[in-house]
Amino acid sequence: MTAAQKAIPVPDELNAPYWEGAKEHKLVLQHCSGCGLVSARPRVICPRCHKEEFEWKQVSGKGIIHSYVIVHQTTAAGFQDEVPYVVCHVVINEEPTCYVTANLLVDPSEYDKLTISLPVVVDFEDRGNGVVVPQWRLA
Amino acid sequence: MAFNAANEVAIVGIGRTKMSRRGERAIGALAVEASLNAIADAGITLRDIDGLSTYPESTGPGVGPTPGVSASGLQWMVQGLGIEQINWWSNGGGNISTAIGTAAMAIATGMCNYVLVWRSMYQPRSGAFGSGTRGSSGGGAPREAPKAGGGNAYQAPYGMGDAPTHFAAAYMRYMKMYGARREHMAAYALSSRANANKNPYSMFYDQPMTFDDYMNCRMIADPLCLFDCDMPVDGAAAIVLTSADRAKDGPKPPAYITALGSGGFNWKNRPPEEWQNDTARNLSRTLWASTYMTAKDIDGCELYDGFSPDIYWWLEEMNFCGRGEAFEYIQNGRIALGGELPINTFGGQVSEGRLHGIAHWYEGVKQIRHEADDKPGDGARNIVHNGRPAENILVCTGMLGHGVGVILSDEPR
Ligand SMILES: [Zn+2]
Repeated sequence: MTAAQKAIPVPDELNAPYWEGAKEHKLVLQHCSGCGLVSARPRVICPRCHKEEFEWKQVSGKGIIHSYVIVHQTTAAGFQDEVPYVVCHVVINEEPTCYVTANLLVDPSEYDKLTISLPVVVDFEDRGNGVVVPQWRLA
Repeated sequence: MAFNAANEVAIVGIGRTKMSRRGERAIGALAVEASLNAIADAGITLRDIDGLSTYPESTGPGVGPTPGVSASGLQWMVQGLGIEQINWWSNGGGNISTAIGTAAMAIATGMCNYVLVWRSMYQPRSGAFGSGTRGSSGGGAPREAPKAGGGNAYQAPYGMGDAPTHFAAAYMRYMKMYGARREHMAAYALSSRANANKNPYSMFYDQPMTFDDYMNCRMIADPLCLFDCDMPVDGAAAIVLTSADRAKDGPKPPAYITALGSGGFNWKNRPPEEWQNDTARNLSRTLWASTYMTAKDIDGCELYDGFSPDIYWWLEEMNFCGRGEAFEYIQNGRIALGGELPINTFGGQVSEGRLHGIAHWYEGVKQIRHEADDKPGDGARNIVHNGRPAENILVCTGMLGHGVGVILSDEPR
């Protein structure tokens, strides 16, 4: 199984809620308790208001494509047999500075239709052994 | 606040080695050879060098695991060169441009008389360039799933690893925003290759490229094809900086640093590809603030091109054209030798090889000396406008926040 060879995200003390949320098929992101800033990758201090308190909350899972890449050649573990595939940076609806990166699960026959600003929704890919990763699909 | 060009720093020595694909020689030996060449070119001796600056020290792009064999950090180089005493050193920064920028400031503030800056590049013996530092598997199919922690947890599980998977996204967005196509980028691919065909150091010296070659090239990370990516090599280059007063004593015409700007950061620079525009934007703001000159005074440019769309970010943010206009600006021979604004007259990294920025500085000095030769004395790559040799060359290298750009001039301005 190629899928079993893909890199496994290892939760740490900062980002564990993100991966725990994924297991429940929820996109859970860190929100600043001071100003509400939503961050794709967890912070220890808010760059906007410098508060150090955060809450983890589920977001809508909706956003638009900021940019993407169609990978044809890679050394990334577990992906050599999966080319082409799309790596997609999505701006979530709740926060214009928050980009969530994942694969865009789309058939290559649809690549011609891809462009920036297309709406997308989150999906969750179960890769076995308790590993679940957020992914994007066209809305 | 801006760099004070009245401090009059100059580059007075340049040296380099040949490049090769996974060559036989120790990387440290290449760094020493390039450095001794630069010192001799400056008309001084090793003992005159009292400042050292490089990037990186131990880990980073173009660096292998074993000092001397696959790396030439400062600690190793003190041994490799046999340095007895120095007054100033630096091995920080984010790439070689910042090592050069801080060297210029060390000269300007009187910390030392002559700074040697070197950069060596080690081509990984397996796997893709950048895969080691970006946490993918390296070459071959792994038997077990690698563990991805920290920031890499958000990338490796999605097949983000090799550099093109990071850098292609900004180009894709640009193409979709402005209607740029690969046909437009062919103008840079072909002009840089034509320049490399005049450069005996180039890995592509004997390999011309046609429009069809470029358009039919295989995709790596769409929209980046193989020829949009620079060529990893083994190799090294070095430069020597000193004050304008001392520069006058040297055997070669000095290349005066008449403007200097710095890259920069913005907390909103996520996803990572957004760094690229901001590096150039901040560099532009600070560079033009340091001089009375404008883009119209520039005779040619040496612009960092780890990937060919980097040219667009530089041209637009450095005020040669408006945002979203670079793909049209580069058409019709404008950036080729003989054109209005020749760019990367040595071939750039996409057509010469990947010396990670320092070759751009080397070539900038060559242009100011009017000795950009194929064979010594033929001036095959010299920039000339209406019979007037180049007087001001813009050199900008760096990426991902880090970066330093300068105007190199034939006289203090
Ligand atoms: Zn806040």
